[in-house]
Amino acid sequence: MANVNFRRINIDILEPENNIAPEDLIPPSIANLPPVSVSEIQSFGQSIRSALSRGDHAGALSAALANPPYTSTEEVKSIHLTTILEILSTVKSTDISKIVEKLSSDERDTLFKYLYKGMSVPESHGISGVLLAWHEKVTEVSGQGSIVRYLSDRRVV
Amino acid sequence: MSQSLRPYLDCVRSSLTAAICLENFSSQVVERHNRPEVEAMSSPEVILNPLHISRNENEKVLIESSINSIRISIKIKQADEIEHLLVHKFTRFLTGRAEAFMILRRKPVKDYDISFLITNFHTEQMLKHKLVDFIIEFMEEVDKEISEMKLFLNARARFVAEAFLTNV
Repeated sequence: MANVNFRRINIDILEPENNIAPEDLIPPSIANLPPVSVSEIQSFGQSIRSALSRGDHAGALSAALANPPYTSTEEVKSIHLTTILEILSTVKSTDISKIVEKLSSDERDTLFKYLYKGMSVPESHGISGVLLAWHEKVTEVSGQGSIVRYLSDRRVV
Repeated sequence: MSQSLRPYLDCVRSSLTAAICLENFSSQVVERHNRPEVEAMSSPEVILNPLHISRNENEKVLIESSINSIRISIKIKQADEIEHLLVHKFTRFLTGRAEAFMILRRKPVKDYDISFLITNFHTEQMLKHKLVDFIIEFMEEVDKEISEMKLFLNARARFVAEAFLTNV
């Protein structure tokens, strides 16, 4: 006991009330959702890609934004992120405003999550210009509110 | 302003305006303490999601926000060794005088060149839109400053080399 420097122990951490794990903050509405497996998200990505090749950009984007895998592993999330970044980069810059206006406000909020997430991963630095263009258009439509909702939303993608 | 710089700065501006939404919030752990929660990290419930904005791999902004403080970290463009050196000297010059800048953080966050820390006390004293303008202006000016310094450095090096070699 003598060699434990008791003054250096952070006793506040031992108080159970002060200990909130990040998992405790996940809202109950999504906490019980079943996690999505890798094969499921890959086949979903394939269906999105076939919609893209048919030229249905708006439909593909809103389908991809409808059910983001909130309660899944990082691998599944990154596969879905790649799918969404693929959609975003195939849309022509002149069509962005039209597609953004078609999205519902919930879908725009989810799109913000993927835009910020996309800019945080090093793989997407090549398409940062595209992401910034999307960000500008979505902010024009839904304003600051969407960014604040992104900041405070615990359902991270 | 170049074509790709404008959307980048617009994005930073709108994100910052949304993120600077601060209120006075005392520490939940120690009585009569008031700490910037983004630095203290005492509880995840008062920390908000971080905002990453990047123009390319050399120019990035990270905005971490919490209930009573936000931290803005900027990675300044460094294309080559000289710029790397100049950025280092420049940020060192600024952070060494952090008291005079109010919102400047003494040490940058890892992977970034310079960090600012804005707390609710700053937003009470200063106007929010002026704070945002300051950060945006800083980002614009610092690129110009660095490339200007690089030009001066090259011009001086050329002059010195000429003066040195003509006497031979």
